Amino acid sequence: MITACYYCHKTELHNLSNYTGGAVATNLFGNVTLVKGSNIYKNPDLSSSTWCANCHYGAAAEYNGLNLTPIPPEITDSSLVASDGTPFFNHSGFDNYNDSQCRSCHGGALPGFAETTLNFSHSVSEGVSGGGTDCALCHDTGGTAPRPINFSSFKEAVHPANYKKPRDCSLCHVEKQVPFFNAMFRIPTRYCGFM
Amino acid sequence: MQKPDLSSSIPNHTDAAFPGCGSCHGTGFIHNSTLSVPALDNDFCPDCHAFGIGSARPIPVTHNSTMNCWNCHQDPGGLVYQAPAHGMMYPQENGSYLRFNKGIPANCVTCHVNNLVNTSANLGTIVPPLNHSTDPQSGRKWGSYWDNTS
Repeated sequence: MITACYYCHKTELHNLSNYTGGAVATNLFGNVTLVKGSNIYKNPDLSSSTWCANCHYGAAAEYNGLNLTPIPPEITDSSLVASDGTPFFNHSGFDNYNDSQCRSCHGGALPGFAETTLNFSHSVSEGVSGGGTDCALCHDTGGTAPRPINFSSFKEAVHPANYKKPRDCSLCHVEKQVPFFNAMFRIPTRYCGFM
Repeated sequence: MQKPDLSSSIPNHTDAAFPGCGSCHGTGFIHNSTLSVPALDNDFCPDCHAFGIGSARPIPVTHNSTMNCWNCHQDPGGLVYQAPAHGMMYPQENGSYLRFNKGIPANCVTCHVNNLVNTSANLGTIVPPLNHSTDPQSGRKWGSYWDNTS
């Protein structure tokens, strides 16, 4: 777990010479100071902070990921290719890009810890679709997720009339381990949100 | 003798010939006024270590500019902690201590996730188990960011 620490905090636990945040070096925040912007440390209000966006969302007002080496993956850069073949999810179209928004899909490792920016930034989970509880909570029209689905129409179209959450969605949209559905619906499910 | 258990077997600062007792305490007979006990603070250790000694690396500041050297380099449960500039120790990855031996030294996670070193003082900022992100490919999935091998 060590080089992950170094990426943000740099390597010298006894030496602040790499510090770039100001004339007086008093801490070991390292690169964190580059993306701090107006954020405050250990903020318990994720809705008022943009730590994630300052590294990962190029259109953020205080984005400074370009000054990190290598540049953090930018969440709207569809040219990114995952080493394990995971399809890129373009994060364009959200209403906002505060840390609370990120937490709604990437906060799965946070339960049990205080919801602060300190804890969230150190414990980010792989993104999930709303936590797997109820797809419509986020993906219905007016929800927080991009590519909204009109669930009223959903029940009347090709989808099951008796929508049961979230099984009916996951048959086509996320159950990549089922070869039949993966092969049949991989492409359509990636685009149906644009309809 | 103020601390007989400690004083009767107090180790030198390191296992090297230098520094000896006189380097810090002055020289003279046992009761001479030329002997002294220096004040231990964050300015004391860098007097020697700021620029490195011999092959030792320079240590210009203490960790976070707030820690004392002995917060990490002494076992708070050990006898020598009463005179913490002596018998310097290295905190280990598993939370134990080795005297004069780096062993497998503690790292960021040892203190800031697992809280294994100097836990009585709970000195470090504790963070959850480090996941950025939980994916096993984390750090290499979208580029070469980290591999957590060092």
